[in-house]
Amino acid sequence: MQLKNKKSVRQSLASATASLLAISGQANGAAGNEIEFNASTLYYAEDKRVTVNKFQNQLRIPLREEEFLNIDVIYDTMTGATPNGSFISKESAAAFVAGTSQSTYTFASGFSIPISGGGGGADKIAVADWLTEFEDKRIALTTDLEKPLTSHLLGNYSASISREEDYTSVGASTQFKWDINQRRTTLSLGANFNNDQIHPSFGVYEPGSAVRCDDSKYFPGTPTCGPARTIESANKVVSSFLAGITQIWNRSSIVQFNYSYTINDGFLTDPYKMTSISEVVPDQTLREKRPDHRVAQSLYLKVVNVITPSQKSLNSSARFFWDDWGIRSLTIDSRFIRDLSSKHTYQIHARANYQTAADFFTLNLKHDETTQIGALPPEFFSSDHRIGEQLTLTSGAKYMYNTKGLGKIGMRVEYMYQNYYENNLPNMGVWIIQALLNFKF
Amino acid sequence: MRLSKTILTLLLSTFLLSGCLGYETVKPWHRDVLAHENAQLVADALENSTDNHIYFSKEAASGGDSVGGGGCGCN
Repeated sequence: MQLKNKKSVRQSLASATASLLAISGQANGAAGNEIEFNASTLYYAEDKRVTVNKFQNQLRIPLREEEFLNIDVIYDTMTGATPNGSFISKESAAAFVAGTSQSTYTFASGFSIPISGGGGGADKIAVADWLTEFEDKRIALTTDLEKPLTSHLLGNYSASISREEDYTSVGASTQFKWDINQRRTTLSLGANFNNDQIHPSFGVYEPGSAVRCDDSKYFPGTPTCGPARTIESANKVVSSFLAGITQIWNRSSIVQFNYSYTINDGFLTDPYKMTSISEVVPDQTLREKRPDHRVAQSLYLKVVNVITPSQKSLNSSARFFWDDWGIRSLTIDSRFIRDLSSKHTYQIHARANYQTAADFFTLNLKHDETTQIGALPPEFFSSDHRIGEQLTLTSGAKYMYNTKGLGKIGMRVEYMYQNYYENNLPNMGVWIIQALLNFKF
Repeated sequence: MRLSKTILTLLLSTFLLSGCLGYETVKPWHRDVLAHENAQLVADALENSTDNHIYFSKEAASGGDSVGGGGCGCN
């Protein structure tokens, strides 16, 4: 009995120490002097569209007490076909779903959407009237230093670089977490800056210009296409700010609330997206044109609740997002995690995201069927379905096995489904399969 | 759309009922339950990073949970 009591006190002290470290804002709960290594291989497969293979490694190295260096390396390969924005007829959508469109579609003469790709930058052309084939690779490196500035203040400094065939992003961020109220409350303040350069192999065409040179005649007053209207690259700068509060609510619950404010400035148009002038002639298109400024805000609430005495937890979050493009979005995400024993853990995940369309989202432009002349296009327009009205649902499960010696290994399988509203674009299913490895040494 | 609303309602209900009722002042030595790996705000940093990237490339909204992100031509 006495031995049991001594063990219990020791365990309680260990738990209390670990909790003090864990609650004070550490990203993944790792504490102590061990190096933590995480690796994953991801297979992402959209139905008849894009396939991505992703390899990611994360290293968490303790430098001093409560000071960590995190290194994250990502290598992605992407291939497949993606909607380019041109008008999709119901017949074309049905043919795609039936699996016949790519073999039967015939291009209009001269119609091609050059897009940078691998293999020496060879240009690709559209494989269906509303799809563009592409391939690309991405390598990304992020380093992150967590450093205690005082016993109650944690600083976090991060630098990142990401490189694709046609896109380079350089970023830096800093975040401070201040524990108050006997460490029951943590206040967070952070800022992030990204400078992105877009450099397709064919250059960046002027937004709003005709994709085919001949098409400019259908739009009096619009820019013509051609090298004179092309620049080598374009830039955008993304500045994000976040303020948050995390509160230990009771012995089994933590609540987090964040407000974030993001400013996007520069070339925000997607150089690969276009808009058809009408339903009748979907292959007569203009390159999309978005505003060069976007301010987005979000409110984010997360609740982590542990169900005792068994080791079950429910990690739920809700985010409301809005921007000055007219997009409103609500996201609900919930993960139920349970330890079946010290060796077996499983997770059930469900997520839903609904968004409204941007004010300038349109399926096609105005067009006079008699004269074949388009009206002067609006100041901004885009047919990119990602800024259209849509609902994304995801559900899946994860299983992790603790091998004791090697660490944890596991697998996650999820299915994502996107519904597009007010659009003939076929809904899309995606399988996400991820193998995970975690060990400490 | 009705199914979508039902799913959204169910998820929202789960969220609201997930235990943020009953505030109490928790002493440092009473945080053993919250020290568990599964009780962290981000239970799996790598999985979280993967998901953020996927949704960033497929949806108009992003961020909210942390500062940083972005950095790809996918959106």
